[in-house]
Amino acid sequence: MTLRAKPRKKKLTRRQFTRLMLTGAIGGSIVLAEFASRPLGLIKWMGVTFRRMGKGFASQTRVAIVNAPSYDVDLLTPLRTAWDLIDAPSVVDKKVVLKPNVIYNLPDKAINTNPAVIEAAIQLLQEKGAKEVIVAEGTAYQRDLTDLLYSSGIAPMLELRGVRFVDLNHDDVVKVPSKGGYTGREFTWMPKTIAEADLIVSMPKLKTHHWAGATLSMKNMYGIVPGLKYGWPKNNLHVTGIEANIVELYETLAPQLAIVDGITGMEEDGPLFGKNRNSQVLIVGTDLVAVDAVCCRLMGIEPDKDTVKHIWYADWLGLGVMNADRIKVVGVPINTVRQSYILPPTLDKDLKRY
Amino acid sequence: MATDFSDNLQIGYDYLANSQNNDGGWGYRRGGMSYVEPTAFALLALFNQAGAGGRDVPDKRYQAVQKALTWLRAQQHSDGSWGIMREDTGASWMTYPVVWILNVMLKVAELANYYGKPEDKDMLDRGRHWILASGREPAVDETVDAEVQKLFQIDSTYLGWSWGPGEAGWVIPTSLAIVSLVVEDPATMPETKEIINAKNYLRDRACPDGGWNVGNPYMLGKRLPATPDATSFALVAWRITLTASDFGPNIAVVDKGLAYLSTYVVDSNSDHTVALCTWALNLFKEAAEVDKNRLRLVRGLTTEGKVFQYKGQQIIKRTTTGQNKTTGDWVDSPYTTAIALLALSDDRYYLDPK
Repeated sequence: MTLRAKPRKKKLTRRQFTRLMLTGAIGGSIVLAEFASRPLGLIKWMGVTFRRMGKGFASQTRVAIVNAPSYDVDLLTPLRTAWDLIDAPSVVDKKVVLKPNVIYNLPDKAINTNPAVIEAAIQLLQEKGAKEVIVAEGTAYQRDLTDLLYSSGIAPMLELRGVRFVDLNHDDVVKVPSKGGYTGREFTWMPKTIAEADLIVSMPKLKTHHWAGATLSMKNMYGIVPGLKYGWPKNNLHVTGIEANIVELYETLAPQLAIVDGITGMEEDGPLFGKNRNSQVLIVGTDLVAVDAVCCRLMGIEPDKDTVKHIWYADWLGLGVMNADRIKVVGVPINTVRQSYILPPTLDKDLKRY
Repeated sequence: MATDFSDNLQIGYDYLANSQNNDGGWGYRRGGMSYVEPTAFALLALFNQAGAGGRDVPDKRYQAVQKALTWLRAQQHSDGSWGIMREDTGASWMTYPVVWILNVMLKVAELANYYGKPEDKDMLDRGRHWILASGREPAVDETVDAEVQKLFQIDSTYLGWSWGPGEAGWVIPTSLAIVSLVVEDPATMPETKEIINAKNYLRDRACPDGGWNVGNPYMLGKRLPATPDATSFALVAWRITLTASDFGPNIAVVDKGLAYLSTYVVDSNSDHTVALCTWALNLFKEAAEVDKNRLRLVRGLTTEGKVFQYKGQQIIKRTTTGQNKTTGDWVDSPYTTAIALLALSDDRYYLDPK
């Protein structure tokens, strides 16, 4: 009979134990961080963090507010003033696309970007040396927008200026990788006119919005995606997350300038049925997050997670700045033109498919 | 005496044959990227006996139809759907017009004889299956039914067809889906439960003042006006599905839609909208009015132009130009031209193929 030695229990050395604990802690932290940073995910979250840190070192963003008492006066001069006050991009020899907000024509409702503002922008960009200026829109509520262009006064103005209009809903399309990954859409179909533009200018109206809180230069980018693919009224973008879509489109399209028609805005039940409100200003800037934040403050809305979430979200992602102390408002002091727009109704998100 | 439009039809068909892209498809404008919808509509127009569907078909038209069908056949996805164009691998609403033309082609003996292929029946079955299984909007959670009714005044238990799978139903895709399904057997299909539900959907989504828009007759309690495009497509769908059982509320919404369109078309500044309205109206109207509508479509504005005022300046513009007498097109668009040709012909092979 042979005696078998009782197997000895292996004891962990202190060093091994420390290593094990350390590895566990690192692994656990990564898993925790991955969960905490969802839906972005850890790698994207780190990218965002670095981008936000970078923004922290940048100088204040300039947003210009200029007085414009009505659509009947000269708007080119105040727009020139605004242009000189911001760090305007060079447009020399560039193909520039102006994207106004043209949706519906309802009697006495300030829904669409006014043709006089679009005209002033055309004149300014031509004056600054743009190779070509195109006005383009992919309206949400109807397939053929020709009649809308006439009834809104935009078509006669374009005729007078000899400027081309492109219907983005029926343009040729190209597949563009979606930046950000906030919607789960790997790519977005884009009109060729937009994909080939050297510079995109968002030209919204100063309005509240019953789904988004406010519809300004970032939300205006919704009109760019082609109805042929995303339908009319493009509500499938609402369904996959209105804020995520606004921010993703903004990041993907990278518009470099916003000119906001704030001469007559809309309060309460925007974007269609609200009340007109005269703010008598134009707002211009190159950081669209900052422009939209300033526009909100002009309407008496402090943009945050609960009021106009997409602005807060874009700021959080480092795509621009929202905080007032990071924005230098130039031109007319904001407190002299700030008003208290009536807020839009708050709606249940489950209904956004309609 | 009725005006003879046969010359207009002939040069129109020639335009379609001449404006086909090399790949076999047609675009929304001549030379534009080939899309499935304008290709299907060009085929629908060319299937006319006077186009490429009768005896002694001009070779160019015959070749154009063959090429277009080859282009379409190559694009059906494994689930039976079509995308919006070749590179689009996702399912889309453009499946509806393709199923429509396949149904017409296979039911008209001469067309089937000229252009049919053994695999077409299977393609049609798979396309139809996709429309019924995946084209319709998903049911709404019943917890939000009441809220939807309150805010939008619609009955969300009626399900329409979507622009893309999983999305909400809208009037234009629902109308196209109805026609694509019913055309297979106009005598019995209108009584199927899917089509009865779809008709209920259209009646429910009608605007209170007549006509249809994207599908929101009310927006948070306020009336959203009709648009001519949705109204035209809805009326085409009603034309093919009306039965004796529709007398009452259904006929009432059709009459109101016709009244809206008859008024709208007179002042429209868009050749495309005039073509669409004329097509839909002519399916219901008496000979004298049909003739008048067709003359308007062919001639465009008969005056020098309309006068528009912009900032104190007068702009005179001949907004609708009608058919180009030399090239046979409307606004150099194969899509608009195809719809105009449907509007000019009395032959209803595309709604009641035999």
